[in-house]
Amino acid sequence: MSFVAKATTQRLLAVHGWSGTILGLFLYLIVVTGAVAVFAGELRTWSQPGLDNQAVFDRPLKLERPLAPTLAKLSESVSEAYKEEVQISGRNDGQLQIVFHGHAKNDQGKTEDTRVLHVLDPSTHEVLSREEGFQSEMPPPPRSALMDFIVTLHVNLHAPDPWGLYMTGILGFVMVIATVSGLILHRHIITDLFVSPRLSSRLLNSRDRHTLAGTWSLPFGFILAFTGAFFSFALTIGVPVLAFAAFGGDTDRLIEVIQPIEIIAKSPGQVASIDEIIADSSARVGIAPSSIRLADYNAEAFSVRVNHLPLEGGINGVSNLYDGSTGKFISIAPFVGTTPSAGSSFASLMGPLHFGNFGGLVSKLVWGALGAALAYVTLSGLQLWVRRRAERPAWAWMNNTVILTGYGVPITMLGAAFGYFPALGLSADASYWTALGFLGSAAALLVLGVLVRKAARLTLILQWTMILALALTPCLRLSFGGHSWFELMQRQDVTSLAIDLLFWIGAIWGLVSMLNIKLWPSKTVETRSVPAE
Amino acid sequence: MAAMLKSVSRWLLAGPVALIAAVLVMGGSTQFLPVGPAGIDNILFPILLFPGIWAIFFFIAVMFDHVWKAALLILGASAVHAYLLFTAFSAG
Repeated sequence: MSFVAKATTQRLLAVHGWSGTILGLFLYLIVVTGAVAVFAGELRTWSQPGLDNQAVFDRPLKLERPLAPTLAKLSESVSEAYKEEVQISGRNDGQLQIVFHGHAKNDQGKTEDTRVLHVLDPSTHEVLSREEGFQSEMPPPPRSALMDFIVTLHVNLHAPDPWGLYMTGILGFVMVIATVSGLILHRHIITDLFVSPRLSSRLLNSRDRHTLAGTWSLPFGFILAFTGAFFSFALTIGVPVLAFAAFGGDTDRLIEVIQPIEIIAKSPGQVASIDEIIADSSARVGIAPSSIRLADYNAEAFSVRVNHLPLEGGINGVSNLYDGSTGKFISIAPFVGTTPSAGSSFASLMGPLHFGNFGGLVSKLVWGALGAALAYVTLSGLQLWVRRRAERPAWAWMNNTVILTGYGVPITMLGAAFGYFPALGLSADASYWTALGFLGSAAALLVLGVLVRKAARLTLILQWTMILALALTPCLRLSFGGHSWFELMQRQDVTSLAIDLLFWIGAIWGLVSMLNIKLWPSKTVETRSVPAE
Repeated sequence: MAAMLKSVSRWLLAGPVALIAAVLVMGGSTQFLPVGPAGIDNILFPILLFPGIWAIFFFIAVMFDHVWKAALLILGASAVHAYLLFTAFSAG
């Protein structure tokens, strides 16, 4: 039984339905792009030839020879102004990156990060490229314009900051209230977990399916929405408000308190071997580090923070802190602050819970699947809301809009790929053509929505378009300079091969459904109209 | 007319007022939350819990039978935290 009064239930139902109706289409866009963005690393490798076959944050550094001589040699060629901090990390093209950085005033008189960026061969430590200047002038790391486009669409809808983040933050909040109100509205939450969709009418069948998928994905939906809203609002609202509250509006001071640079006791003239520090840290944790940060590198004493990825079964990585002068182990560095705290532990959970990247490909697959379930819940909820009002003419157009968006979001993402791959192959501006592919397909769908009024016909056209787009995407990748299957096998890149196959499996599945080919006996749903409960 | 006024008040309370209240509580609570061993818990928890604070005010506005009771609670919390914010900022 529901534990709230009838009037409250009605208000909650209105909140649950109307919040979904007004913002549900945008929410669906965010959820679908989010489910795809979970695999951003894998899809970058798949879509951009030459990138390493793992996401950059998913692997330890390739340290094939001592770093100390290389670091000393590079340090000699770098001005002292760039030695506030040194960062050593991997790149997604498999190279090693050593960045010296400091701060200076730019042309507008604003303080900006300055950098000397070295890209090195990880085997020989030969310097492949060297760039010096402001951070904004640095060449971007090798990347896939296609995945950058989709991830940015998820993060801020390509709207200028902070407005884009405000919008996605509000959508996250809408999802929080939709999940919580859904939880309160459930009259039989345990039985709803095992409800068998009724076959007496299409509407009741849809309602039961929405309830089933919604009930199972409630906790996950809440976690994703909460962490997503946090990421959108933390920098845009949280930091300025808290800087105002605690530091008289000084944002830099707030950042310094949350993420201080460790000051180590001075031991003049000594520089410990970075390789011994790395070896000690690796022995303590059990795996090689993923990145290393040397803070206050231009001072007589400096600190070295050695970051390791999570071990199997762990959610968070480990950062070991060392005295850079003596090589002495200081402590395990907390996620934020200088000493472990409840706030730091809580903050460290936000990223892994939102990105699902704590358990390798397995946790990503679970997060991706749950994301897909949430997309279904969002869309089926919208369809239910619209179908209940189908008799009213004003709602007829909304039904077509839901259908158009439901198929349109994946089709326009594939449209972006249709702009991206030829541009990549023909050495054109891939970012421009990706955006054009997305917007062009979105415009074509809008015209289709205006021209085709009958929902059944619109659905049919969109389904065939999707099948065709799914089938052609791997062909485009292979035709415009992407690694062949033989090359992928040589590179031991099974994931990219599997992604190609998944596109074709999706197309075949769609085809089987469209042609109504019975692979196994199934029960039929009656199409008679029955009022929803 | 009274019913419509009540309805509009409720949705105003659940919308912009709940958001402003959540921002004020996030800022004001830095003044009384424990700082913890690292001296940052009073800053981290409000920022981490902001979506939750906002949702709580939203549901208070929607679920309370009497709008005035919800308004009293939300505006009262806002006033207390606005005062805490003001004193903190005045003290520099």
